[in-house]
Amino acid sequence: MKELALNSNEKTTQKQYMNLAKVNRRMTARLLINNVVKYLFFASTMFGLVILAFLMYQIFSDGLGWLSMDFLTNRLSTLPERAGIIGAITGTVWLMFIVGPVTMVLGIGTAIYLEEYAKKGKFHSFIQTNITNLAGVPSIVFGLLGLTIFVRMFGFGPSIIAGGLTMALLVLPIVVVASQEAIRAVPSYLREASYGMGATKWQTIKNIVLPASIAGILTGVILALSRAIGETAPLVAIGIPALIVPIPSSITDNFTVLPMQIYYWTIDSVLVDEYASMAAATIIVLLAVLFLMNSVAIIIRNKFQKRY
Amino acid sequence: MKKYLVALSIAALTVFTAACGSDDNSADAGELSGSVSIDGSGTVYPLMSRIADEFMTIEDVSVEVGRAGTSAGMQKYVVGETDFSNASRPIKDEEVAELDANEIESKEFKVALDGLTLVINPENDWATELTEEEVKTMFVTGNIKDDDKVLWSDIRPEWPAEEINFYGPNENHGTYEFFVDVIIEKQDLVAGINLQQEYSTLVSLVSDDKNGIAFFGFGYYVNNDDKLKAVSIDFGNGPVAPSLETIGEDGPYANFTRPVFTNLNLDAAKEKPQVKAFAEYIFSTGAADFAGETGFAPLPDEELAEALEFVQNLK
Amino acid sequence: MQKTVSIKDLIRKDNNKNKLKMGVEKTVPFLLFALASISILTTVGIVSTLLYETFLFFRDVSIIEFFTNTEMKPLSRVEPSFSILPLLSGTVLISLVAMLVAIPIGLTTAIYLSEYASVNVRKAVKPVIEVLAGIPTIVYGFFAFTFVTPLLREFIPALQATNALSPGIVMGIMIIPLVASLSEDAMNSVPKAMREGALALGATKLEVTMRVVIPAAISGIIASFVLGISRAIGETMIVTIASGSSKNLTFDITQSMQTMTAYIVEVTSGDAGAGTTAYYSLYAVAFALFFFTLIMNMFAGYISRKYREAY
Repeated sequence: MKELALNSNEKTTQKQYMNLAKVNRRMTARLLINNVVKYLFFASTMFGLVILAFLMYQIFSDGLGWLSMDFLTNRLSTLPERAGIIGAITGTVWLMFIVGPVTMVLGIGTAIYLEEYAKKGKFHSFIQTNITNLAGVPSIVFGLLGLTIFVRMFGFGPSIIAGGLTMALLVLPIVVVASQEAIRAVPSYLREASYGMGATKWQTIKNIVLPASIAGILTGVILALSRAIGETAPLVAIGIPALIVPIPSSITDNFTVLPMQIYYWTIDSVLVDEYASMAAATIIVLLAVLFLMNSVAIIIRNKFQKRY
Repeated sequence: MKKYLVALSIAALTVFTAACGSDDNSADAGELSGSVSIDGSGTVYPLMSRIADEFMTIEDVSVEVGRAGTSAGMQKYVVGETDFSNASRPIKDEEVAELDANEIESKEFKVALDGLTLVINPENDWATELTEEEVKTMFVTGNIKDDDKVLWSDIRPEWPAEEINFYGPNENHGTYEFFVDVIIEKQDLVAGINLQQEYSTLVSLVSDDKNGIAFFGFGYYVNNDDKLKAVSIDFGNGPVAPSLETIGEDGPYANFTRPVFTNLNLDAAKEKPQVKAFAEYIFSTGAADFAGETGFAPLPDEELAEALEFVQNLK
Repeated sequence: MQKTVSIKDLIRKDNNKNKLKMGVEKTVPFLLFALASISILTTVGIVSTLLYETFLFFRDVSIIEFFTNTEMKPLSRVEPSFSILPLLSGTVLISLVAMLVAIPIGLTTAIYLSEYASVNVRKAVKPVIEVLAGIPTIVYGFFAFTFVTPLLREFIPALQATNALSPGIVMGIMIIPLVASLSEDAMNSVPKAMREGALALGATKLEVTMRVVIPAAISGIIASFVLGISRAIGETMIVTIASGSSKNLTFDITQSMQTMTAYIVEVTSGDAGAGTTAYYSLYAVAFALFFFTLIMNMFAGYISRKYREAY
């Protein structure tokens, strides 16, 4: 805008049209800046990728040497040459067994209620706002909730059930929001056709809406699970002991998970140098599991996603 | 949709039955089974976890070792949640009272000796020896200067005129309590002392700070003797360097040495054979074999034998 | 085989079936409502536990002291003193460092992806950047402690082994994808016609971006910043591992300092037994943390709703 104003000024005072040289100079400068900045933006985009590559390189070069069948199948030990992470792997699987069903039932139920039953009004937006805000609550606060309610009040101790329920509440908003979006994406003519055939509301939901949105819902559940198995802070808060050798076999057993093991080995690396590399090896395992789960999510989305 | 629901409920059921099932048959594996739960001091943790680790290679018992801290461990212990509670200080009267109120029989055992070690940066080539008196003076507030900006030259004039940076474990640790209660006799620590929760932080802080000095258990020093230098202490008969030999009960470093403890729930030991077996293992082999490796001085043989006998006679 | 069918029976049968059907129809909403209320119960649970124990804490410690005192010595047996200020300074400082990394890089990444990159480049780059968001925070903590801090100390010798700078930078890297993807969404929703109008007037791409796209998408962009800050305030593991536990009121980022989240970890995994003042202080700090992040999130929601320009 300024340039235009300037030009018109010149025009009136000097009774002259544009000064071509001046315009050219300005134009070149503008284009130059445009190009330089473009590369700056590109470089900054690459920054994230470079950091990611650097992080992966460091962790793999540090931990790959420790990764062996023995490390994967041995129980935990204080001695590096004997230590393995089978207990943490089993604990992670157990955690998923709690978080998965609980979040599915709660998350899908909440989403159906909000999308299909609740009247759009104050109460509806209250629940909706509540879920959005829950998604932003720091995970350590959920840990305190778990500590106060599940560990202390219910007397579960730092067991699988206490950890699982805490994590389930933490990731619940992810499942709710994903399920809501999936249900909302089901076109209304499908519902109307079902009603037209004489189906009731619940029959329509059960037979039409849920099957049509199941891919989106499952994707949400898997994303929620992958968040749950990578979280550390809530489990630190509920007080998982540092040395748990036995492999958990029931939901009332105390347990440890991969991120907890990474945490303890990182802060204990002052005691035994090898712990740092063992933490890196455990990170590789954790990342591999997460990568696998995300791939499954993508496959489900591509395979089952119907376009309407 | 039914398919999904069925699949889901089957999955849930499998989990549930698996969970219940394994609870039942966990009782018939080998001679000993079940679990032993231990919590308490972080200082004792390396030793106790090492012993537990070895015990589990012999017996099919699950020993869980936590390190919430001495007092936090006691909180769980006095209500009967744990079988052992490790402590880096003797049990307090109010804790005994709570045990009585809950009708829990408990006994405190020494398990090893820990030498409080003062460490400095490897580049520090002057303060390699301090007298006991100098330690007690320099760590107390207001003793040397009102603002506590103590210079090395304030302690001995020939040392550099650079400010000392003090470090130590925070109030969570029994080591802190020992240092404040016993060594500086409950006076206030110098202002500006940098107290940390993690020993890893302390080690790296002092290993970078030429003017740093810190105190912590000997175990954390031996594992890092490439990054830190231990100060020899003169207790009146010439400087003594802390070592597994000198921190023994009658050793020349004994003034800075304290026992570390574990408390055993005697009711649990009588009822659960695995708890008794682990207690026996601690005093027969564990404490003697693994103390040195984890940076503690072993107790005299007689004391261990006495403890072992006591445990063996429990019925 | 002849079977007589009574119309009456059929109607009765159908009615019975309908009754069952209607029964299900009536109970299902209540069941679902019960499930939906769990999320509200969670909030009620969080708020009530935090409030109750915070209340117990303020019986022992004056609330004014808690916010004006500068000494935080919760476990000191000589003279315990409680103050949130050192934790606040740690939280604010580390979040500031994080945002100094995340905002410029996140925003420029968003601009590049939304305005400059070809479709193919965007398709390839975006998921990779989002991988950064999927890495567990404990991994970032390990990275900050074992790689970034030693690396930074090559350049800044005064840097302590635990400090505010390194976790701040790493946290910023973690937040880049959040800022980038939310800002990019906001810019993408600016209609093409507006860009083309400006381009037709002779503006360069940069000028279009700076004077047309960003002003039009500003509410979404600012919301992404606010959400980033809220994320930084609530992040726990990176700071627990890499910033130490000094509770000094300082603004020197080369020093060890503690955030509110790391304090909660220290107290829960440490020595404070239930019932002590130090234990209750945990809930007071958690309540403050909850409150700040809630305000931030609601503020982000508000600006993106209020100033959203509908095209």
